[in-house]
Amino acid sequence: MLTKNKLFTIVVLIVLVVSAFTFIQAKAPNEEEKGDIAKVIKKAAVLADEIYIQAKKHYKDRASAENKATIIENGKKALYEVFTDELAQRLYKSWVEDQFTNAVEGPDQIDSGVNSIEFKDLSISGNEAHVTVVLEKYITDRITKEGKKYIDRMQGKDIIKATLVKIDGKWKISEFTVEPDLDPEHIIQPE
Amino acid sequence: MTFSSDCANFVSQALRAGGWPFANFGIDVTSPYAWYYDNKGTSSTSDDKYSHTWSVAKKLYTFIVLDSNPRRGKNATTSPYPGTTSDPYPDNTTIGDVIFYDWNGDAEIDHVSIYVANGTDPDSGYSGALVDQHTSNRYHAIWSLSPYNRWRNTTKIYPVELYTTY
Repeated sequence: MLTKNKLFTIVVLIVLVVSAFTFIQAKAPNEEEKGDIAKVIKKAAVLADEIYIQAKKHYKDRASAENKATIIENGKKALYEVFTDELAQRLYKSWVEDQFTNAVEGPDQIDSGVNSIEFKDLSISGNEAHVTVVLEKYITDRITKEGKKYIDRMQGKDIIKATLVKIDGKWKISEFTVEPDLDPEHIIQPE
Repeated sequence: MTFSSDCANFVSQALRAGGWPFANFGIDVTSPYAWYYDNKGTSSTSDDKYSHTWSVAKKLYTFIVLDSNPRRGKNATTSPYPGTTSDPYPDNTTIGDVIFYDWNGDAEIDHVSIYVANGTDPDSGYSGALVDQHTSNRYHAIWSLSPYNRWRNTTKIYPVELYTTY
């Protein structure tokens, strides 16, 4: 009888361990995928800003044409890492090339980043993912008011809806829409 | 009727109040040639019917510059303004015209506002052409929306000049 009980206990334990293992295996990739997708969206959110900041610096430093070509080439590479070829091709001019025209008279932006990313919806089916996130993004400008210099940090929560596809093991964005919250917070401090 | 994203409905109401006649009233709501809102003569909004051009910014844009007959407006400039623009006024536009925005530079319109005054934006202190808009609601904001837009580096702005007679 005791042997039977022992055997039963062992079988139950084995079933529990196998179930737990299977559960962890099923959950773990999703968390990993979620992390990978978050990284891609965060990169996309600041990509054009980073090129703009470099373009602004290019003009301030009166740098060479070669420097401009390198910034554009690196920006293009970054764009194609984050977006599918088709979407990257559509966005290339406005996200990369145009930053040099924007920077001529545009704000003295010195930084940008993402404070937080909150998943509202995520569904993954094979190599395709559909996602809705609320992203808190900030951009920082150097401004002058009444002859004094300040740092102006604008931050707010934007809704991003995206479709991603997995290509060679990497998630890339194939569709991307932004709904910016146009009522942001401005944190202004003396420089 | 309530709209979760209300910008085009807000501008459509302003245009209607300003005298714009409906176009192809009552036909298929998806038609690009229609522009109307049908409240069915009741105060209840549950059975209201409205064209997509009334409530979706990109469809309102194509209705105005492409599909309306007679044509109701045209792009005020040959190329869009960048979201970083510091120009106080958009070229070839005046109070009553409408401004369309493409947030992510993919050449698809995402938002619309209406040019309502010249003066100073009470929130940003910028002076120039001021717009009113819904979602996010703003009163007399500078037309570029640059002081509010963290996506200004990818944004393209399309001012549209409305015809006074058509």
